[in-house]
Amino acid sequence: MENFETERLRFRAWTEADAEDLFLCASDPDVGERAGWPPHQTVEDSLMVIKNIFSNGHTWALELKETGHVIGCMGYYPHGESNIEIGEHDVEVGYWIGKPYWNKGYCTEALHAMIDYCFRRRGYNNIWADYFVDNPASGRVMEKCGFSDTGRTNILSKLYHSDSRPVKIMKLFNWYVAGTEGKPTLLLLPGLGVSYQIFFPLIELLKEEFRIYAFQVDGFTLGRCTRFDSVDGLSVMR
Amino acid sequence: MTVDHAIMDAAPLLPLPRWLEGPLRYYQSFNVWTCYHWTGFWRFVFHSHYFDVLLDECRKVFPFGGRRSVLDGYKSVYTNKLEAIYGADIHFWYGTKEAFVAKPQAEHLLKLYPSVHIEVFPKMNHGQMLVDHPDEVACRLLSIT
Repeated sequence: MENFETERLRFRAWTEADAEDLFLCASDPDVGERAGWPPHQTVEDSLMVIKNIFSNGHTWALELKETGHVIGCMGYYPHGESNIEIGEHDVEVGYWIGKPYWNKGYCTEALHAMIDYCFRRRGYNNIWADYFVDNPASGRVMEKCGFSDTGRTNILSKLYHSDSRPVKIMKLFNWYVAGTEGKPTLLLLPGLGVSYQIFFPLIELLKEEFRIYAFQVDGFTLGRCTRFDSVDGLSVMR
Repeated sequence: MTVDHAIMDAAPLLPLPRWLEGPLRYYQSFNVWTCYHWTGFWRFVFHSHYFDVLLDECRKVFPFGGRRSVLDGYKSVYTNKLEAIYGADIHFWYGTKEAFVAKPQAEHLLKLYPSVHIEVFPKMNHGQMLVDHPDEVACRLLSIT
């Protein structure tokens, strides 16, 4: 499992020594319900979660560099493990942060890093995420990171207290932005089976003249449900 | 979103005959599989019409490209028909090495939109102008806008 970090946070694997920190955050009923799981009752509960759920190779502990304490969790679910019907080379991300660390920008910072990891290092094509409609703060974090609303909702009855609480489904396209703000927009769409990286030499030549958006739009990379005439992620350009 | 200028690089604008659509989709699915697995002589036989950069792109974009995705992707290409186009300044580019596929598309576009600018690049394959001469493409883009 690969560790990486941001300015204030370190992404690392969970260890049993993190059980105390996890319990401090996860015993707060305000945290778990927003993410769809019951509050932890004891430190042993937290230890079991670390052993049985977080040790899957794609769930990271978010450690605050300044203190060395774990303040939250972030991970991704590939096709087959996701709650959403996603393409075979797409991924869903999920996260939560302990209540004392809310409204400090940690979540946005971490999600930016996670997006970068999923696109650049893992090569996933699109990232999906969802949030309970009664937790709009999580949706705002997604929007800040470029996710757009798919207009779809879902009931995830497997999750805690979720029978009457739908989740909103958000999506982030694999797209690349370069160039100068305020210049005319140049939209580059590659053909079937070709990545937008084929435009990189051209982008290098034109980045002074245009604001450039290069998208991944073809039917292979968007999964089995996508057709050429449904470029439904263009709202991320707003 | 308003588009002022559009360049289509040998875009598929016409559907294939119905009887050809199925066999070609399955052929393409097989072809994609061979991108990953075949080397040497068989690579030469199947992919000599690809230039290396394009073949690398195929491997890079869908390293786990599933058969269903490929079939659906090509279905979208082979059944697509451009019915109308208006408003923007439209350019259609293609190379002489892909003319057998691209020329009918260009002729269809010309019927729909007589003011389209069609340009044919000698000795070029699909997308080769962008890969081999990005400076030339950049100059043309700047002159268009």
